[in-house]
Amino acid sequence: MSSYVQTVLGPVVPDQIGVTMMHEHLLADATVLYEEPAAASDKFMSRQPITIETVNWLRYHYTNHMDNLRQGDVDVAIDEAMKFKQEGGGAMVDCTVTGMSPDPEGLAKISMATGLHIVAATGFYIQPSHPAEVSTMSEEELAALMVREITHGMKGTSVKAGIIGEIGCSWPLHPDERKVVGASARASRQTGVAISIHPGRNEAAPMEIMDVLKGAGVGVDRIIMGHLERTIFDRARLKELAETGCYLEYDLFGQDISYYPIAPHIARPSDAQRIETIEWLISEGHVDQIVVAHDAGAKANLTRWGGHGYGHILRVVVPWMRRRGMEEWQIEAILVHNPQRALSITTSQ
Amino acid sequence: MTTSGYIQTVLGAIDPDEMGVTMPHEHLLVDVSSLYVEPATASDKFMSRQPITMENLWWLRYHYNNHLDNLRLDDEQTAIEEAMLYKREGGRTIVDATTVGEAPDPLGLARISRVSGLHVVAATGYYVAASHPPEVAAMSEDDIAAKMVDDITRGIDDTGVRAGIMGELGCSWPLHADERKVLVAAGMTQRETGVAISIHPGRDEAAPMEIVGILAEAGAAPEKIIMGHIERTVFNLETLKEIADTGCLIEWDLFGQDLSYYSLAPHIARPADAQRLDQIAWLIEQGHADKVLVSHDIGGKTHLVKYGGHGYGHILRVVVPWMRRRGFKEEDIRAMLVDNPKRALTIE
Repeated sequence: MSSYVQTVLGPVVPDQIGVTMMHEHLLADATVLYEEPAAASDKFMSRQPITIETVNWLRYHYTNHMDNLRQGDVDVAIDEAMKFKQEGGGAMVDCTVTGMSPDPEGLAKISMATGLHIVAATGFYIQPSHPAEVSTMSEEELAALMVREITHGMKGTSVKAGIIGEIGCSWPLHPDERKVVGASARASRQTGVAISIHPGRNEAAPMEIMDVLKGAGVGVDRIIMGHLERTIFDRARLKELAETGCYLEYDLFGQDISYYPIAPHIARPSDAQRIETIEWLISEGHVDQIVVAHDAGAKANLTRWGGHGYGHILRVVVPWMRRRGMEEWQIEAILVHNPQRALSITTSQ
Repeated sequence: MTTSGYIQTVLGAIDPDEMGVTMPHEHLLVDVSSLYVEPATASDKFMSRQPITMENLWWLRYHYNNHLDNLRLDDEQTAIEEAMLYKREGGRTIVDATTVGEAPDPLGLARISRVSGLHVVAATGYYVAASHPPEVAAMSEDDIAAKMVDDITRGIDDTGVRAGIMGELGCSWPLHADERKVLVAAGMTQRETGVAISIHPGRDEAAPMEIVGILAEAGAAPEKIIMGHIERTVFNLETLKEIADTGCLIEWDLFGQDLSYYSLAPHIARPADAQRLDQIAWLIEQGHADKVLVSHDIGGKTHLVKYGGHGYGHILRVVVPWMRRRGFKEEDIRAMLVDNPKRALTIE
């Protein structure tokens, strides 16, 4: 039995990937999230270039600005990725799936230029972003497409996917999203690749998705439940999810604005609250399930446009974890060992 | 008109009913370079001397006090433009809580008020001991009180601009002897002039009650005491209730600063706007809607819209609609923004 991590430049021995961010976007177009503002003055702001004078407006209107939702400049991505590398980063998972304009060859260029390991993703984002054919394709056909991207290459390139998702789920779960979740399960079982989930914004969403995946026979060690800080607030529910054994992903580090424009009924937690929740999960015995990231895709999250960038966790959060008393082996589990295990593809013989 | 009191602004006394929506703790012109800490490492030293650009905000937000230029709001034109962003959201009055140690500029405030049409209230008093000029150590409580009474009744120094509030009075933890002296003088001055006292407490849960005790003993009326920076000081709801029960006003004045990592005090996890609103909602439930004040304490360039920040208009633009969505009553919102500041600042 041997294991490897499938990167955009080929398979890599798992213990070579180092500190890994499990949910980022280096090249993506998430304009599916764009909402045209209603008022004339907000419409004006939505068309302004991103400058130091407009970044605060953007932080409170990040879905109201087309250009903020796109980052397709390979040179910019290289510069920003280097800020992760210079803090000690080794690997990034680019969770950009169909619906967000995945760019496997662009990722390969960034990997070659930076020396970072990059894992590309197959799969489909939330239903409003699906290409038309998804609604008519069967679960088997969707699974076959994903398997092909994992075993042969993505979008007609030779770059192979090393993860499935972020698989986009809305609340309530759309039938086509449920079909994609089912197809992901088939593809994962066939290839051994892990599934990363973007759950709907409801506390019940993660367990509903877990039930679909487990029902389809996916091992819990192949499931990464993302965006937990904006999804589960109740400790009992979090414990219930943790008890399933899946990976628990806190992937919005650096986004401390508590006002959440795309879901104003939710008060988004800060880094301090993310760390508190992680400390609690550790105290409950779940250290081996926790992974972290920034989900930095929008321009305003990148340092060039006034944001925190891909290096924030290593630069700010890890020293803070140490100061709060988290132990080195626990930090290493979160940054290195858990991602390594999650991304490892095991083949018999 | 039968009002018995007035508000002292930098352009003269006004009817309290003219005050309207008020931010009781801001800085329009300020120099808090006394907070500057030279970074230890070469690369941080380099960043500390870089201009404030969009590309440097990631560093600046986590090194607020490691950048001298960030700690100075010294451009009147910028102050006017930023103040107008508050006025256009419905703001009428700004209290500039800049005291000795922070380079107060009464004439500059008067110019900003004339151009912007906003009412501006200037402050007398002293910031934290680390920023005191040397003469404070030699002054008695009576000397300090006499100086503050003079600033209030005749005008600050020789500017002719009268102070309409005392403080922010700077308190460290533990309280410095000279800071205690200023507090006693402020208590005496409060009784003599009727002017309110605004407090910058030390960063300890026990600091506010100690300070209220000193002020009250020196003669201050509790309802004229504004306890500031509450969200980075008090985390226990029982302590909050205890402070409110003394009768003083409680000020959440760091709205818009949502970074939980607090570079000035890394042992404290600073709450975000959502948590500020949770605390305020709780205090209102306890029957203390008449004690709540809100503000931004704009005190560094990166807080200004021009430099990537939220600016003086953030509460009116973002927080008040959010309060409504969260079920705050209109009368309670009005109390925080209008009635409570008016009551505090009215000089009988």
